[in-house]
Amino acid sequence: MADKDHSATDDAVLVRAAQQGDMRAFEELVARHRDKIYARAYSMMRNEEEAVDLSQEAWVKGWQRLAQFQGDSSFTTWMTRITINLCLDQLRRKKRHRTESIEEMDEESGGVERQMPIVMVNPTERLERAELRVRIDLALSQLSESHRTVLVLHEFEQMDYKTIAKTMRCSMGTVMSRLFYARRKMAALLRDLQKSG
Amino acid sequence: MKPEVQLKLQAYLDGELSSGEAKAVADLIARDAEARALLAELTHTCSALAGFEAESKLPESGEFYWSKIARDIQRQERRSPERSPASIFALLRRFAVPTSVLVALLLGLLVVKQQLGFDHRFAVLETDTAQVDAGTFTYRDFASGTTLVWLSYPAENEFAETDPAGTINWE
Amino acid sequence: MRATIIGAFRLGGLALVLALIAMGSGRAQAADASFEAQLIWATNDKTSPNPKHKDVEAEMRQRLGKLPLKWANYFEVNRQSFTVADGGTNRVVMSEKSAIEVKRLDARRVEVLLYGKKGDVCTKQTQPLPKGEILVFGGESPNATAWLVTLKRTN
Repeated sequence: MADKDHSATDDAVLVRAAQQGDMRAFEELVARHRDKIYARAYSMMRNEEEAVDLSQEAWVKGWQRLAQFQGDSSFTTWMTRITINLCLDQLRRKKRHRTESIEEMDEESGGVERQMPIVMVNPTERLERAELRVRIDLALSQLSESHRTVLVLHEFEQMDYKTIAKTMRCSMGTVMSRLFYARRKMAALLRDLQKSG
Repeated sequence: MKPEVQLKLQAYLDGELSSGEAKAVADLIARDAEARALLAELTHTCSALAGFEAESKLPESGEFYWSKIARDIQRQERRSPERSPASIFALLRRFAVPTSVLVALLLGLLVVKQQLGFDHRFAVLETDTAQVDAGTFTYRDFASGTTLVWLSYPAENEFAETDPAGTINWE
Repeated sequence: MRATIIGAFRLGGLALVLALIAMGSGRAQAADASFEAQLIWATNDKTSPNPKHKDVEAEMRQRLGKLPLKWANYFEVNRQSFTVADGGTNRVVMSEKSAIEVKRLDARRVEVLLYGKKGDVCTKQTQPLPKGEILVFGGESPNATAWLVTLKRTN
Protein backbone atom coordinates (compact mmCIF):
# COMPACT_ATOMS: atom_id res chain seq x y z
CA MET A 1 0.00 0.00 0.00
CA ALA A 2 1.40 3.44 -0.92
CA ASP A 3 2.17 5.69 2.03
CA LYS A 4 -0.61 8.19 2.53
CA ASP A 5 -0.15 11.56 4.19
CA HIS A 6 -2.65 11.65 7.04
CA SER A 7 -1.52 14.86 8.67
CA ALA A 8 -4.55 16.87 7.51
CA THR A 9 -7.16 14.18 8.21
CA ASP A 10 -9.44 14.35 11.21
CA ASP A 11 -9.46 11.71 13.94
CA ALA A 12 -12.67 9.97 12.90
CA VAL A 13 -11.32 9.33 9.42
CA LEU A 14 -7.99 8.15 10.80
CA VAL A 15 -9.74 5.76 13.18
CA ARG A 16 -11.78 4.27 10.36
CA ALA A 17 -8.67 3.82 8.25
CA ALA A 18 -6.83 2.25 11.16
CA GLN A 19 -9.75 -0.11 11.73
CA GLN A 20 -9.21 -1.29 8.16
CA GLY A 21 -5.59 -2.06 9.00
CA ASP A 22 -3.91 1.20 7.96
CA MET A 23 -0.94 1.35 10.32
CA ARG A 24 0.13 4.78 9.09
CA ALA A 25 -3.25 6.18 10.11
CA PHE A 26 -2.77 4.70 13.57
CA GLU A 27 0.74 6.11 13.74
CA GLU A 28 -0.73 9.56 13.04
CA LEU A 29 -3.25 9.07 15.86
CA VAL A 30 -0.41 8.13 18.19
CA ALA A 31 1.58 11.20 17.14
CA ARG A 32 -1.40 13.46 17.83
CA HIS A 33 -2.37 12.08 21.21
CA ARG A 34 0.74 10.52 22.69
CA ASP A 35 1.37 13.44 25.05
CA LYS A 36 -2.11 13.26 26.49
CA ILE A 37 -2.00 9.49 26.98
CA TYR A 38 1.46 9.72 28.51
CA ALA A 39 0.31 12.58 30.76
CA ARG A 40 -2.58 10.49 32.09
CA ALA A 41 -0.31 7.55 32.80
CA TYR A 42 2.24 9.82 34.50
CA SER A 43 -0.41 11.48 36.64
CA MET A 44 -1.38 8.10 37.99
CA MET A 45 1.97 6.38 38.24
CA ARG A 46 4.28 9.35 39.06
CA ASN A 47 7.15 7.54 37.40
CA GLU A 48 8.32 8.48 33.91
CA GLU A 49 9.57 5.06 32.87
CA GLU A 50 6.42 3.29 34.06
CA ALA A 51 4.24 5.93 32.44
CA VAL A 52 6.03 5.53 29.10
CA ASP A 53 5.74 1.71 29.27
CA LEU A 54 2.08 1.75 30.27
CA SER A 55 1.15 4.36 27.69
CA GLN A 56 2.84 2.29 24.98
CA GLU A 57 0.99 -0.79 26.21
CA ALA A 58 -2.23 1.22 26.01
CA TRP A 59 -1.56 2.07 22.38
CA VAL A 60 -0.89 -1.58 21.54
CA LYS A 61 -4.14 -2.56 23.25
CA GLY A 62 -5.90 0.26 21.43
CA TRP A 63 -4.74 -1.13 18.09
CA GLN A 64 -5.88 -4.64 19.05
CA ARG A 65 -9.31 -3.41 20.17
CA LEU A 66 -9.93 -0.85 17.44
CA ALA A 67 -12.78 -2.92 16.05
CA GLN A 68 -14.61 -2.38 19.36
CA PHE A 69 -14.42 1.42 19.14
CA GLN A 70 -17.85 2.53 18.00
CA GLY A 71 -17.45 6.29 18.31
CA ASP A 72 -19.68 6.59 21.42
CA SER A 73 -16.96 8.76 22.92
CA SER A 74 -14.01 10.58 21.39
CA PHE A 75 -11.02 8.48 20.44
CA THR A 76 -8.86 10.14 23.09
CA THR A 77 -11.43 9.45 25.81
CA TRP A 78 -11.51 5.82 24.75
CA MET A 79 -7.71 5.65 24.81
CA THR A 80 -7.43 7.37 28.19
CA ARG A 81 -9.83 4.84 29.65
CA ILE A 82 -7.65 2.01 28.38
CA THR A 83 -4.66 3.78 29.90
CA ILE A 84 -6.37 4.29 33.23
CA ASN A 85 -7.36 0.63 33.48
CA LEU A 86 -3.81 -0.48 32.73
CA CYS A 87 -2.47 1.91 35.37
CA LEU A 88 -5.00 0.70 37.93
CA ASP A 89 -4.08 -2.92 37.24
CA GLN A 90 -0.42 -2.07 37.72
CA LEU A 91 -1.14 -0.19 40.95
CA ARG A 92 -3.15 -3.13 42.27
CA ARG A 93 -0.31 -5.53 41.42
CA LYS A 94 2.15 -3.29 43.23
CA LYS A 95 -0.14 -2.91 46.23
CA ARG A 96 -0.34 -6.67 46.67
CA HIS A 97 3.40 -6.78 47.07
CA ARG A 98 4.03 -4.00 49.48
CA THR A 99 3.07 -3.05 53.01
CA GLU A 100 1.07 0.09 53.48
CA SER A 101 2.81 2.79 55.41
CA ILE A 102 1.17 4.02 58.59
CA GLU A 103 0.55 7.38 56.95
CA GLU A 104 -1.33 5.71 54.10
CA MET A 105 -3.44 3.72 56.55
CA ASP A 106 -4.28 6.93 58.41
CA GLU A 107 -5.26 8.52 55.12
CA GLU A 108 -7.40 5.53 54.19
CA SER A 109 -9.20 5.43 57.52
CA GLY A 110 -10.18 9.07 57.05
CA GLY A 111 -10.95 11.83 59.47
CA VAL A 112 -7.68 13.73 59.23
CA GLU A 113 -8.94 15.94 56.43
CA ARG A 114 -11.88 17.14 58.51
CA GLN A 115 -9.55 18.69 61.05
CA MET A 116 -7.23 20.48 58.63
CA PRO A 117 -7.48 24.25 58.95
CA ILE A 118 -9.12 25.84 55.97
CA VAL A 119 -6.67 27.47 53.58
CA MET A 120 -8.08 31.00 53.53
CA VAL A 121 -5.91 32.54 50.83
CA ASN A 122 -5.67 31.14 47.34
CA PRO A 123 -2.16 29.68 47.43
CA THR A 124 -1.84 29.71 43.65
CA GLU A 125 -2.65 33.36 43.17
CA ARG A 126 0.06 35.41 41.48
CA LEU A 127 2.05 32.30 40.59
CA GLU A 128 3.45 31.97 37.15
CA ARG A 129 1.99 29.03 35.30
CA ALA A 130 5.32 27.19 35.15
CA GLU A 131 5.89 27.66 38.87
CA LEU A 132 2.38 26.44 39.61
CA ARG A 133 3.02 23.34 37.51
CA VAL A 134 6.10 22.49 39.54
CA ARG A 135 4.22 22.92 42.81
CA ILE A 136 1.24 20.88 41.71
CA ASP A 137 3.56 18.20 40.42
CA LEU A 138 5.32 18.05 43.78
CA ALA A 139 2.05 18.06 45.70
CA LEU A 140 0.59 15.23 43.57
CA SER A 141 3.68 13.13 44.28
CA GLN A 142 3.03 13.46 47.97
CA LEU A 143 -0.47 12.02 47.84
CA SER A 144 -1.01 8.30 48.31
CA GLU A 145 -1.85 6.27 45.21
CA SER A 146 -5.53 5.93 46.03
CA HIS A 147 -5.98 9.63 46.73
CA ARG A 148 -4.04 10.66 43.67
CA THR A 149 -6.02 8.22 41.52
CA VAL A 150 -9.40 9.55 42.61
CA LEU A 151 -8.17 13.10 42.03
CA VAL A 152 -6.87 12.25 38.55
CA LEU A 153 -10.07 10.45 37.60
CA HIS A 154 -12.24 13.33 38.79
CA GLU A 155 -10.21 16.39 37.86
CA PHE A 156 -8.50 15.19 34.67
CA GLU A 157 -10.69 12.41 33.37
CA GLN A 158 -13.87 14.27 34.40
CA MET A 159 -15.49 11.10 35.75
CA ASP A 160 -18.48 11.42 38.06
CA TYR A 161 -18.51 9.80 41.50
CA LYS A 162 -20.42 6.73 40.37
CA THR A 163 -18.06 5.99 37.48
CA ILE A 164 -15.03 6.49 39.72
CA ALA A 165 -16.52 4.07 42.26
CA LYS A 166 -16.99 1.45 39.59
CA THR A 167 -13.53 2.01 38.12
CA MET A 168 -11.81 1.88 41.49
CA ARG A 169 -14.05 -0.92 42.79
CA CYS A 170 -15.07 0.93 45.90
CA SER A 171 -18.18 2.63 47.26
CA MET A 172 -19.28 6.13 46.35
CA GLY A 173 -18.82 7.10 49.97
CA THR A 174 -15.18 6.07 49.73
CA VAL A 175 -14.77 8.06 46.52
CA MET A 176 -16.18 11.18 48.16
CA SER A 177 -13.99 10.81 51.26
CA ARG A 178 -10.84 10.19 49.26
CA LEU A 179 -11.54 13.07 46.89
CA PHE A 180 -12.19 15.39 49.81
CA TYR A 181 -8.98 14.32 51.52
CA ALA A 182 -6.98 14.64 48.29
CA ARG A 183 -8.25 18.17 47.63
CA ARG A 184 -7.66 19.35 51.17
CA LYS A 185 -4.21 17.82 51.22
CA MET A 186 -3.40 19.48 47.88
CA ALA A 187 -4.52 22.83 49.24
CA ALA A 188 -2.39 22.40 52.36
CA LEU A 189 0.64 21.26 50.32
CA LEU A 190 0.35 24.17 47.91
CA ARG A 191 0.09 26.59 50.84
CA ASP A 192 3.16 25.02 52.51
CA LEU A 193 5.08 25.17 49.25
CA GLN A 194 4.16 28.82 48.89
CA LYS A 195 5.46 29.54 52.39
CA SER A 196 8.72 27.73 51.81
CA GLY A 197 9.19 28.74 48.18
CA MET B 1 -18.76 21.42 60.64
CA LYS B 2 -19.99 17.85 60.43
CA PRO B 3 -18.17 15.53 58.02
CA GLU B 4 -21.34 14.82 56.04
CA VAL B 5 -21.88 18.55 55.56
CA GLN B 6 -18.32 18.93 54.29
CA LEU B 7 -18.88 16.13 51.79
CA LYS B 8 -22.15 17.74 50.74
CA LEU B 9 -20.30 20.98 50.03
CA GLN B 10 -17.87 19.07 47.85
CA ALA B 11 -20.71 17.29 46.04
CA TYR B 12 -22.37 20.68 45.51
CA LEU B 13 -19.18 21.97 43.90
CA ASP B 14 -19.01 18.87 41.68
CA GLY B 15 -22.64 19.06 40.58
CA GLU B 16 -23.45 15.70 42.15
CA LEU B 17 -26.45 16.81 44.23
CA SER B 18 -30.11 16.72 43.36
CA SER B 19 -31.73 20.12 42.90
CA GLY B 20 -33.32 19.93 46.35
CA GLU B 21 -30.06 19.07 48.05
CA ALA B 22 -28.20 21.71 46.04
CA LYS B 23 -30.64 24.38 47.18
CA ALA B 24 -30.18 23.38 50.81
CA VAL B 25 -26.40 23.64 50.45
CA ALA B 26 -26.70 26.98 48.65
CA ASP B 27 -28.73 28.26 51.62
CA LEU B 28 -26.06 27.01 54.01
CA ILE B 29 -23.33 28.74 52.03
CA ALA B 30 -25.28 31.99 52.13
CA ARG B 31 -25.50 32.01 55.91
CA ASP B 32 -22.37 30.17 57.09
CA ALA B 33 -18.91 31.74 56.77
CA GLU B 34 -17.08 28.48 57.44
CA ALA B 35 -18.97 26.76 54.64
CA ARG B 36 -18.09 29.61 52.29
CA ALA B 37 -14.43 29.39 53.21
CA LEU B 38 -14.28 25.64 52.69
CA LEU B 39 -16.05 25.92 49.35
CA ALA B 40 -13.58 28.62 48.32
CA GLU B 41 -10.65 26.39 49.22
CA LEU B 42 -12.07 23.47 47.27
CA THR B 43 -12.74 25.74 44.30
CA HIS B 44 -9.19 27.13 44.34
CA THR B 45 -7.78 23.60 44.29
CA CYS B 46 -9.98 22.67 41.31
CA SER B 47 -8.89 25.81 39.46
CA ALA B 48 -5.23 25.07 40.14
CA LEU B 49 -5.54 21.57 38.72
CA ALA B 50 -7.51 22.63 35.64
CA GLY B 51 -5.38 22.24 32.56
CA PHE B 52 -2.44 20.92 34.56
CA GLU B 53 -2.13 17.76 32.56
CA ALA B 54 -2.47 19.52 29.25
CA GLU B 55 1.14 20.64 29.39
CA SER B 56 2.75 17.27 30.15
CA LYS B 57 5.05 16.12 27.37
CA LEU B 58 6.38 12.70 26.47
CA PRO B 59 10.00 12.55 27.69
CA GLU B 60 11.37 10.84 24.58
CA SER B 61 11.26 11.35 20.83
CA GLY B 62 8.06 10.52 19.03
CA GLU B 63 9.83 8.25 16.56
CA PHE B 64 11.47 6.17 19.27
CA TYR B 65 8.17 5.96 21.17
CA TRP B 66 6.31 4.80 18.09
CA SER B 67 8.97 2.29 17.09
CA LYS B 68 8.39 0.27 20.26
CA ILE B 69 4.62 0.38 19.80
CA ALA B 70 4.96 -0.80 16.19
CA ARG B 71 7.32 -3.58 17.23
CA ASP B 72 4.92 -4.80 19.96
CA ILE B 73 1.97 -4.71 17.56
CA GLN B 74 3.89 -6.77 15.01
CA ARG B 75 4.96 -9.23 17.68
CA GLN B 76 1.34 -9.65 18.83
CA GLU B 77 0.19 -10.13 15.29
CA ARG B 78 2.79 -12.81 14.62
CA ARG B 79 1.26 -14.71 17.53
CA SER B 80 -2.35 -14.21 16.39
CA PRO B 81 -2.55 -12.84 12.85
CA GLU B 82 -6.29 -11.88 12.75
CA ARG B 83 -5.54 -8.71 10.83
CA SER B 84 -3.24 -10.23 8.20
CA PRO B 85 -4.90 -10.56 4.87
CA ALA B 86 -5.05 -14.22 3.86
CA SER B 87 -6.34 -16.21 0.94
CA ILE B 88 -9.06 -18.74 1.60
CA PHE B 89 -6.57 -21.54 1.05
CA ALA B 90 -4.11 -20.07 3.54
CA LEU B 91 -6.93 -19.83 6.10
CA LEU B 92 -7.98 -23.41 5.42
CA ARG B 93 -4.46 -24.62 5.77
CA ARG B 94 -3.86 -22.69 8.96
CA PHE B 95 -7.09 -23.47 10.77
CA ALA B 96 -8.73 -26.53 9.27
CA VAL B 97 -6.57 -29.24 10.77
CA PRO B 98 -6.19 -27.95 14.33
CA THR B 99 -9.85 -26.88 14.45
CA SER B 100 -11.05 -30.26 13.23
CA VAL B 101 -8.88 -32.06 15.76
CA LEU B 102 -10.15 -29.85 18.56
CA VAL B 103 -13.80 -30.25 17.55
CA ALA B 104 -13.39 -34.02 17.28
CA LEU B 105 -11.77 -34.19 20.72
CA LEU B 106 -14.41 -31.99 22.36
CA LEU B 107 -17.28 -33.89 20.84
CA GLY B 108 -15.64 -37.17 21.74
CA LEU B 109 -15.41 -36.02 25.34
CA LEU B 110 -19.02 -34.88 25.20
CA VAL B 111 -20.11 -38.32 24.04
CA VAL B 112 -18.10 -40.02 26.77
CA LYS B 113 -19.60 -37.64 29.31
CA GLN B 114 -23.12 -38.34 28.07
CA GLN B 115 -22.61 -42.07 28.18
CA LEU B 116 -20.82 -42.26 31.50
CA GLY B 117 -22.69 -39.55 33.38
CA PHE B 118 -21.85 -35.94 34.12
CA ASP B 119 -18.25 -35.12 34.87
CA HIS B 120 -17.92 -31.82 36.68
CA ARG B 121 -14.35 -31.31 35.56
CA PHE B 122 -15.27 -30.40 32.03
CA ALA B 123 -18.04 -27.91 32.81
CA VAL B 124 -15.51 -25.14 33.10
CA LEU B 125 -14.89 -25.28 29.33
CA GLU B 126 -18.48 -24.24 28.72
CA THR B 127 -18.96 -21.44 31.21
CA ASP B 128 -19.38 -17.91 29.96
CA THR B 129 -20.10 -14.90 32.11
CA ALA B 130 -21.13 -11.71 30.35
CA GLN B 131 -20.55 -9.07 32.93
CA VAL B 132 -22.09 -5.68 33.09
CA ASP B 133 -19.67 -5.10 35.89
CA ALA B 134 -16.03 -5.51 34.86
CA GLY B 135 -15.03 -6.49 38.37
CA THR B 136 -17.14 -9.63 38.47
CA PHE B 137 -15.29 -12.83 39.15
CA THR B 138 -16.34 -16.46 38.85
CA TYR B 139 -15.30 -19.31 41.13
CA ARG B 140 -16.11 -22.98 40.78
CA ASP B 141 -15.96 -25.73 43.33
CA PHE B 142 -15.73 -28.86 41.20
CA ALA B 143 -16.28 -31.37 43.96
CA SER B 144 -19.67 -30.00 45.01
CA GLY B 145 -20.70 -28.70 41.55
CA THR B 146 -21.18 -25.13 42.75
CA THR B 147 -20.42 -22.03 40.71
CA LEU B 148 -20.17 -18.59 42.32
CA VAL B 149 -20.49 -15.39 40.31
CA TRP B 150 -19.54 -12.48 42.54
CA LEU B 151 -20.48 -8.98 41.47
CA SER B 152 -18.11 -6.31 42.64
CA TYR B 153 -20.81 -3.68 43.04
CA PRO B 154 -20.22 -1.76 46.27
CA ALA B 155 -22.61 -2.09 49.16
CA GLU B 156 -24.57 0.94 47.97
CA ASN B 157 -25.11 -0.68 44.57
CA GLU B 158 -28.36 -0.56 42.72
CA PHE B 159 -28.98 -4.22 43.26
CA ALA B 160 -28.61 -4.29 47.01
CA GLU B 161 -28.89 -0.72 48.19
CA THR B 162 -30.82 -2.06 51.11
CA ASP B 163 -31.10 -5.69 52.12
CA PRO B 164 -32.56 -7.88 49.42
CA ALA B 165 -35.91 -8.35 51.14
CA GLY B 166 -36.15 -4.70 52.21
CA THR B 167 -36.81 -5.72 55.77
CA ILE B 168 -33.76 -4.45 57.56
CA ASN B 169 -33.40 -0.82 58.65
CA TRP B 170 -29.85 0.13 57.80
CA GLU B 171 -30.08 3.64 59.31
CA MET C 1 -1.69 -28.98 0.16
CA ARG C 2 -4.37 -31.22 -1.34
CA ALA C 3 -3.55 -33.98 1.14
CA THR C 4 -3.84 -31.51 4.01
CA ILE C 5 -7.27 -30.35 2.95
CA ILE C 6 -8.48 -33.90 2.44
CA GLY C 7 -7.17 -34.81 5.89
CA ALA C 8 -8.95 -31.82 7.38
CA PHE C 9 -12.24 -32.84 5.80
CA ARG C 10 -11.86 -36.39 7.04
CA LEU C 11 -11.42 -35.17 10.58
CA GLY C 12 -14.33 -32.82 10.11
CA GLY C 13 -16.45 -35.73 8.98
CA LEU C 14 -15.52 -37.67 12.10
CA ALA C 15 -16.47 -34.66 14.18
CA LEU C 16 -19.83 -34.49 12.43
CA VAL C 17 -20.55 -38.16 13.16
CA LEU C 18 -19.69 -37.70 16.81
CA ALA C 19 -21.87 -34.60 16.95
CA LEU C 20 -24.84 -36.53 15.59
CA ILE C 21 -24.35 -39.21 18.22
CA ALA C 22 -24.17 -36.59 20.95
CA MET C 23 -27.29 -34.85 19.67
CA GLY C 24 -29.15 -38.14 19.63
CA SER C 25 -28.34 -38.82 23.25
CA GLY C 26 -29.28 -35.28 24.19
CA ARG C 27 -32.78 -35.51 22.73
CA ALA C 28 -33.93 -37.74 25.58
CA GLN C 29 -33.70 -34.72 27.92
CA ALA C 30 -36.08 -32.41 26.02
CA ALA C 31 -38.90 -32.33 28.62
CA ASP C 32 -39.60 -29.42 31.00
CA ALA C 33 -36.89 -28.84 33.58
CA SER C 34 -37.63 -27.81 37.16
CA PHE C 35 -35.57 -25.21 38.99
CA GLU C 36 -35.46 -23.72 42.45
CA ALA C 37 -34.14 -20.25 43.19
CA GLN C 38 -33.41 -18.88 46.64
CA LEU C 39 -32.67 -15.38 47.86
CA ILE C 40 -30.31 -15.62 50.81
CA TRP C 41 -28.94 -13.06 53.23
CA ALA C 42 -25.37 -13.72 54.40
CA THR C 43 -24.28 -12.30 57.74
CA ASN C 44 -22.20 -12.94 60.80
CA ASP C 45 -25.19 -12.09 63.03
CA LYS C 46 -26.59 -15.13 64.80
CA THR C 47 -30.19 -14.25 63.95
CA SER C 48 -32.00 -12.23 61.35
CA PRO C 49 -34.08 -9.25 62.52
CA ASN C 50 -36.86 -10.51 60.29
CA PRO C 51 -38.67 -13.41 62.03
CA LYS C 52 -39.83 -14.73 58.67
CA HIS C 53 -36.25 -15.54 57.66
CA LYS C 54 -35.12 -19.05 58.42
CA ASP C 55 -31.77 -20.77 58.36
CA VAL C 56 -30.87 -22.24 54.98
CA GLU C 57 -31.02 -26.01 54.73
CA ALA C 58 -28.01 -28.04 55.73
CA GLU C 59 -27.18 -29.02 52.15
CA MET C 60 -27.16 -25.39 51.02
CA ARG C 61 -25.08 -24.37 54.01
CA GLN C 62 -22.59 -27.08 53.16
CA ARG C 63 -22.42 -25.99 49.52
CA LEU C 64 -21.96 -22.34 50.45
CA GLY C 65 -19.27 -23.40 52.89
CA LYS C 66 -17.18 -24.67 49.96
CA LEU C 67 -17.15 -21.24 48.36
CA PRO C 68 -14.78 -18.40 49.27
CA LEU C 69 -17.46 -16.62 51.35
CA LYS C 70 -16.60 -15.20 54.72
CA TRP C 71 -19.98 -15.20 56.46
CA ALA C 72 -20.97 -17.49 59.31
CA ASN C 73 -24.73 -17.55 58.80
CA TYR C 74 -27.13 -17.73 55.88
CA PHE C 75 -30.85 -16.96 56.05
CA GLU C 76 -33.38 -17.83 53.41
CA VAL C 77 -35.35 -14.73 52.45
CA ASN C 78 -37.34 -16.15 49.57
CA ARG C 79 -37.64 -19.37 47.61
CA GLN C 80 -39.24 -19.89 44.21
CA SER C 81 -39.80 -23.15 42.35
CA PHE C 82 -40.54 -23.00 38.64
CA THR C 83 -40.22 -24.91 35.39
CA VAL C 84 -38.67 -24.00 32.07
CA ALA C 85 -39.65 -25.74 28.84
CA ASP C 86 -37.03 -26.99 26.44
CA GLY C 87 -35.79 -23.90 24.58
CA GLY C 88 -38.03 -21.71 26.73
CA THR C 89 -37.53 -18.91 29.23
CA ASN C 90 -38.97 -18.20 32.64
CA ARG C 91 -38.46 -15.23 34.91
CA VAL C 92 -39.17 -15.16 38.64
CA VAL C 93 -39.14 -12.23 41.01
CA MET C 94 -37.03 -12.82 44.10
CA SER C 95 -37.66 -9.49 45.80
CA GLU C 96 -38.72 -5.92 45.07
CA LYS C 97 -35.23 -5.30 43.77
CA SER C 98 -34.20 -8.57 42.15
CA ALA C 99 -35.34 -11.09 39.59
CA ILE C 100 -33.79 -14.04 37.87
CA GLU C 101 -34.50 -15.25 34.36
CA VAL C 102 -33.57 -18.71 33.10
CA LYS C 103 -33.44 -19.70 29.47
CA ARG C 104 -32.74 -23.28 28.46
CA LEU C 105 -30.34 -23.32 25.57
CA ASP C 106 -30.21 -27.09 25.22
CA ALA C 107 -30.55 -30.20 27.35
CA ARG C 108 -27.84 -29.10 29.76
CA ARG C 109 -26.97 -25.45 29.22
CA VAL C 110 -28.82 -22.48 30.60
CA GLU C 111 -28.50 -18.76 30.18
CA VAL C 112 -29.26 -17.00 33.44
CA LEU C 113 -29.90 -13.27 33.70
CA LEU C 114 -29.87 -11.50 37.03
CA TYR C 115 -31.92 -8.30 37.21
CA GLY C 116 -31.38 -5.51 39.72
CA LYS C 117 -33.35 -2.73 41.29
CA LYS C 118 -34.22 -0.78 38.18
CA GLY C 119 -34.86 -3.82 36.04
CA ASP C 120 -31.37 -3.61 34.55
CA VAL C 121 -29.37 -6.73 33.89
CA CYS C 122 -26.59 -7.05 36.46
CA THR C 123 -24.94 -10.06 34.90
CA LYS C 124 -25.52 -12.93 32.51
CA GLN C 125 -24.16 -16.41 33.08
CA THR C 126 -24.19 -19.15 30.47
CA GLN C 127 -23.19 -22.61 31.62
CA PRO C 128 -24.33 -26.21 31.99
CA LEU C 129 -26.58 -26.65 35.02
CA PRO C 130 -27.44 -30.33 35.35
CA LYS C 131 -29.47 -31.73 38.22
CA GLY C 132 -27.72 -31.27 41.53
CA GLU C 133 -25.50 -28.36 40.46
CA ILE C 134 -25.94 -24.92 41.96
CA LEU C 135 -25.23 -21.50 40.50
CA VAL C 136 -24.76 -18.73 43.06
CA PHE C 137 -24.79 -15.00 42.36
CA GLY C 138 -23.66 -12.70 45.13
CA GLY C 139 -22.63 -9.22 46.09
CA GLU C 140 -22.10 -6.97 49.06
CA SER C 141 -24.86 -5.48 51.16
CA PRO C 142 -24.51 -2.75 53.77
CA ASN C 143 -23.10 -3.45 57.23
CA ALA C 144 -20.68 -6.09 56.00
CA THR C 145 -23.37 -8.53 54.91
CA ALA C 146 -24.14 -9.95 51.48
CA TRP C 147 -27.01 -11.06 49.30
CA LEU C 148 -26.97 -14.33 47.39
CA VAL C 149 -29.29 -15.66 44.71
CA THR C 150 -28.93 -19.38 44.16
CA LEU C 151 -30.28 -21.46 41.30
CA LYS C 152 -30.54 -25.23 41.35
CA ARG C 153 -32.02 -27.62 38.84
CA THR C 154 -34.22 -30.10 40.65
CA ASN C 155 -35.02 -32.56 37.85
